Amino acid sequence: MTGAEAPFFVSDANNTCEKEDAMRSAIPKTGAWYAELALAAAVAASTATVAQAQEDFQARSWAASCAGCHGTEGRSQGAIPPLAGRPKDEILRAMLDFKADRRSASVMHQHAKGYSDNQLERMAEYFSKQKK
Amino acid sequence: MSMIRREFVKLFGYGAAVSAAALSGCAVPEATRTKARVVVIGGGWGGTTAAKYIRMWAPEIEVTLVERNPFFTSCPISNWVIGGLMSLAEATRSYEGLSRRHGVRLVQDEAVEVDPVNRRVRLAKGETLSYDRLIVGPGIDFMYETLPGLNNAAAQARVLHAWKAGPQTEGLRKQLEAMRDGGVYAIHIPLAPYRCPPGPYERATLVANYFKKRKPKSKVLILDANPDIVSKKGLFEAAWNDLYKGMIEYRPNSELVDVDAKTLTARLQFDNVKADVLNVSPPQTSDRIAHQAGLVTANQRWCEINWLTMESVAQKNIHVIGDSTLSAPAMPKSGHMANQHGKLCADAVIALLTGRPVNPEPMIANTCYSLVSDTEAMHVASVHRYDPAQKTLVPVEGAGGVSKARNTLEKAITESWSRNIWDDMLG
Repeated sequence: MTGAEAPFFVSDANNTCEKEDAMRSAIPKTGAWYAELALAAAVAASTATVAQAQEDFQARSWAASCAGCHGTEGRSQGAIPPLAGRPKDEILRAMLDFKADRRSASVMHQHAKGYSDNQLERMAEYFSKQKK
Repeated sequence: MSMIRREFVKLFGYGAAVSAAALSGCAVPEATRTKARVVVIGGGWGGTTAAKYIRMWAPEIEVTLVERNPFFTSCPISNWVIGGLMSLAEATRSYEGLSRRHGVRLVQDEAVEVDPVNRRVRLAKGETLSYDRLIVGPGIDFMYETLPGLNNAAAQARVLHAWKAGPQTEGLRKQLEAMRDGGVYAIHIPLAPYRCPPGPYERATLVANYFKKRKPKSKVLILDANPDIVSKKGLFEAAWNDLYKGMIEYRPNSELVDVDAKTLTARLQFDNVKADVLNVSPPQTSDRIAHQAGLVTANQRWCEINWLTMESVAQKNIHVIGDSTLSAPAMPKSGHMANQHGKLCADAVIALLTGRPVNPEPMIANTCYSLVSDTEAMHVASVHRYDPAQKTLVPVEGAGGVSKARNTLEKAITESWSRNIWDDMLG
């Protein structure tokens, strides 16, 4: 099998700095920083319904792993079915059925089993919102 | 402390808890400019995808793509051309969509020198590009120095690899068309890891399919340096036995020592094999720009990276994607995988440039289709998640697998896959 060669060492240094800088720049450097953060969280939560679709970068990135077969944002040509704009429940039910082997497939059961139910739900939500 | 982190994470839209490592001490933040600039070297499966997705997800970031070829030719599916089932034109696409639809600046040129300290790339025609982040998806190069008889232009023009699509694809097809009935097509497969694990077996199969129709006395000889078929073994063996009995000979442990290009002889350790058409990939390595830029860290061939960001472990601000990476466990060097790398990288680079946390839970997947007759195909699939303990992407247990058997539906799926993924990269 192809796989990696010898024992695999990866330095964490490159990732840590940028991540930490990003977080530092977002955290106000005052004694009441937690209070400010909590306030901001409350504001964000109240606009969560509107903001969530744009801000679920993680679901967007997971959903991008489907685009190789299903097309960018789930817009497909040919035999592979599209995902863009389909009802969330429909996509989620299909994926959970594939995952549990309740529905036969050539390959989708093999992919569905790779994601948690929570991931699948958020990915279904993402695709349901994409333009057909 | 954990409650604060949860609130913070909610703001940034991530469901998972952020790793403790992210909050350890660090250095000065990156200098900000009006518009962040990303340069992408390589218009292949990884580079095009990364360029498009950065523009799609963060149009405030400028992206320049450097590619030496005037248009894109797909190496996946090119075996169908070699087998006479498709024209190369059908596997060719323009790069224009990237500029017209996504505002990528396209530069047809070759990167000759990367300056990681000053963050500049010098191109062959003289232009110098500055970058905040560099993404390198340069693909592979061949270690011709390991096969002295093949280490010159004349020999390489006669013994083709066709492991990069384009003139080599058509050249190999022409050699097969010109071959006498009763001749032998020999393909050598280098030791893994190499680009596209099932590729050479698909090629051997589709050449046998062509011979069966047009030159039925001819034979296919697979000289595999590996100890066994590297991908979809059961499925390939079944196809050979059912459809091409007596036509394909498979020889494992057949490492190539040298090649005589004049006589088309493959010199193995204990044997010389003469062919009518000889098709050789020498052992593979990262493209030369990766070596020049100081990105190659493993076995003098491959580039180690951080799998959360695809950033090189050796050079800051340079990300490596596709075949030239040191593969994660059970991760194939495939075009589909490079396309996945491109998106993982795009997301991470955007996060790093715009000051949001990098996704701590990337997920990528691969499906690789092989055609084995005019009508039937089969696949291998895998899903990969990040394992924080091993600090790499690992296959998700219980996910992935292969086709139960070759079938006609999967041929249609392969055709659909190729249209969708080429559009995903270039449209």
